[in-house]
Amino acid sequence: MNGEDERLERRLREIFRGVDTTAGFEARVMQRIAALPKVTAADLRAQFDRGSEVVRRRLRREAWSNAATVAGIGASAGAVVWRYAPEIMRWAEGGGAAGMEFWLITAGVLAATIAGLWPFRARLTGVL
Amino acid sequence: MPADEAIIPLILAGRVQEAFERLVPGYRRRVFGLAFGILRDRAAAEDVAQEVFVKLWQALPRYDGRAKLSTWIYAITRNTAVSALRRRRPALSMSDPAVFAEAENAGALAAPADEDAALRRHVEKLPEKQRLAVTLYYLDERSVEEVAEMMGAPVNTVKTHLHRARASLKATLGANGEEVA
Repeated sequence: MNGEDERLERRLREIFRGVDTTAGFEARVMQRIAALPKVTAADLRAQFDRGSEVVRRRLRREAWSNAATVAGIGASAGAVVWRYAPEIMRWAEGGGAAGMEFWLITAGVLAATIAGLWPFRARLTGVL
Repeated sequence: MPADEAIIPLILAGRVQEAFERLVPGYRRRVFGLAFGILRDRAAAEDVAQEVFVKLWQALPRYDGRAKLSTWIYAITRNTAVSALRRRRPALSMSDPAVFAEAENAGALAAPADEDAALRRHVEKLPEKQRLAVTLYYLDERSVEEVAEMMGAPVNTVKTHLHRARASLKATLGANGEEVA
């Protein structure tokens, strides 16, 4: 660092020297804290109840949403089966179902069961 | 650096009052310095510093030790100071003749009667981040690492701010015919 840099450093330290809070700062902080409204047990209980109500409303909304989803999937599957009923009958009568491996059918049933129960997983894990 | 290793165990043990009594004197000048660097007004900075400590008093019971105590305090200070700055700024308008005149005089090239006042004026005209870095670095002769933590910026960024600020100040002082010393 050359002489000019050292002089600038010294002057910069000088102009900030003494920049500080005024006397009695900590006492004023404690005065502001003492003036804060006191939180009572009733306040805490009311706050807890409000929070619980918010959670309950959210769970009710999610339950309706999940039920609508399941109903929608079920209605869609029913509509597909209804639309392609003749083709499905021909496939079944033609031995298509018998030609499938047992495990493919089992996997399909399991997947359908999991998909149907997925929206209710939170409650099920609580029970189990 | 304040003795965080003595304060944190008190907070986690629920001895908030004791922790707070150590925290205020330990961080008073740092919190004030950071607020002053952002607000550039001593009275406003002191008000913000008090507000920060009141917030800390209310938040200390929830401090769980995951964040570094100093980083947490500096973040609260920055946010509080910036909020205060935003509340103040709408009150200032260049259409106000008094404000316009003050801004004009701040750029005057006349030889200053007080050399320190001239240097302060030049520091005030630095870009915001450079001015904040200079203020925090020279206020208490802090390390670059601590300044970086207070600003919430990388160390190399702070070094760049300081380097550019010093170069700008030397150039400005030289262009105005003012000696650095």
